[in-house]
Amino acid sequence: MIQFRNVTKKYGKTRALDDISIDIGKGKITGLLGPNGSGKTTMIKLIMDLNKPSAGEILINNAPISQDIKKHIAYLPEIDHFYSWMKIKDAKDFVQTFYEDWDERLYEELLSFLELEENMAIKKISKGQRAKAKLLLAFSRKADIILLDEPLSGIDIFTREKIVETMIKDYREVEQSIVITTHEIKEIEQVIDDVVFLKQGKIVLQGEAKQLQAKRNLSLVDLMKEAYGDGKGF
Amino acid sequence: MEKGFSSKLGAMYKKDVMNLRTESLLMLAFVFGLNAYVYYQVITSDSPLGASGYGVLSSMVVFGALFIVFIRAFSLVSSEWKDHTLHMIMPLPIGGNTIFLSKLLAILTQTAVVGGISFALTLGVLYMILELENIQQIFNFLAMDSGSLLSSNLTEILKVAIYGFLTFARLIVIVFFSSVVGRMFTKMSGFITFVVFMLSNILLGQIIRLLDQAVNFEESSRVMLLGEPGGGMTGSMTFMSTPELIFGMLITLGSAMIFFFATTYLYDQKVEL
Repeated sequence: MIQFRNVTKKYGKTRALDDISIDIGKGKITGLLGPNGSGKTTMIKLIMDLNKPSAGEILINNAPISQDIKKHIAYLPEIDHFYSWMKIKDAKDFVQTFYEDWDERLYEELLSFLELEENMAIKKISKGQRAKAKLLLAFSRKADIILLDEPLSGIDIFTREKIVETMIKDYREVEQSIVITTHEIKEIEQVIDDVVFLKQGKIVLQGEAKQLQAKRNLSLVDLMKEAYGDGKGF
Repeated sequence: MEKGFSSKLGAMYKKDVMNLRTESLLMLAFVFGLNAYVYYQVITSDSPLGASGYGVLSSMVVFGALFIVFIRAFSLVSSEWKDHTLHMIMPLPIGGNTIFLSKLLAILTQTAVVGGISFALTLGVLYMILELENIQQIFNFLAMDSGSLLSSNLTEILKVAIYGFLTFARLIVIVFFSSVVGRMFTKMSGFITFVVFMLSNILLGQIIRLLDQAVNFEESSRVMLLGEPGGGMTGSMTFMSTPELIFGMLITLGSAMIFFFATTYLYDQKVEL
């Protein structure tokens, strides 16, 4: 379980997160949703210890983040983070060195499913293929926690649904927790268990996605529009 | 099964060597081309450069290559931020010690390979130009050529080379330290890096001077090498005695370790994306 306890994160005078307290459940798919600058990526970075909280604490299974805990987290950043000389195989060889939970069979299957080849030079492939390469590295591990920051960015609409269905639904381990930030809400609506709506660093709505939808008889997109005042700020 | 420290360090080292590969090859191509050109000039014309001038020029090329390696050490750290590759490194379950040890080893490898090949090329070409019978004669030639600043004794040259290499390694560690301090600031990080680098060297120079005075080796004046804080070329050059060399190496290693652990501490505790 991931716990935020009164977490504030400031960049200079800007409050990216403002006194956030939340529990992200084990074995669930949690969507962090909100407009640009609402604090979604900051939350992911804080969980991964890429940023330090200005106040409050973040606990993973009741312990602060450490190198031991990092062994069990897979992280997919929104940004292209590969070295320019890397081929897909180089990236795989590099990443797998650091994790016990790397699954070679899963990697081979996903490589084929995502229509990638090991000898593809990452700097020469399309943006969509690079996004797939990031998904490949994140999902080839049987990590307890997977953090996905805009994982569908750059992938065409025809492939998005297929990826969400196959990877997040079919390839996911039972106890695996997934935290996902995205603007492509329609594509992930069917797989999300819990949802957290953020606005200007604060949580404006949270809960079980299906319950929230049933209670108000709205889709996630409509719920979000309601939460942000008819979509203003997008 | 969990892979050990050496496997992780190996993966990081390979990654850093690959990052330096292109410029290392470019430097070697330049050094090779220049040697070939000068050799051709010497044997085909009455070039005023001559064999002795060639020796000096080639030595300058070796130092030039080392200077480029030194400058590149700054960008080896900062490029991780600029190219967003830190997003790949920071989530890994390793600490700053592995990250910066691999960078240091990669740069020292580059130094040894580029510097070593450049030096060997110089010796080889001199050997051919002067039609000498053994390597020792090349050192004798270089010693004469540089106004006896260099000893013709191969053992003494090796001592200086080892001490110089260690001093260079410490300089690279200070570069890492300065770069990490600079990266803790979002504004003027380049300027802060430069200031921290200069101040660190000045401070270290003062401390070493005090230590030297405290130990007070008799009849010795250390050859000041590249990167020796507060150092410079002096008129009377003698080589280090063995106790002085050991003392110098211990000081160099000790100070390098202090800067190294300060760097890894800052990276682990303070650095953010």
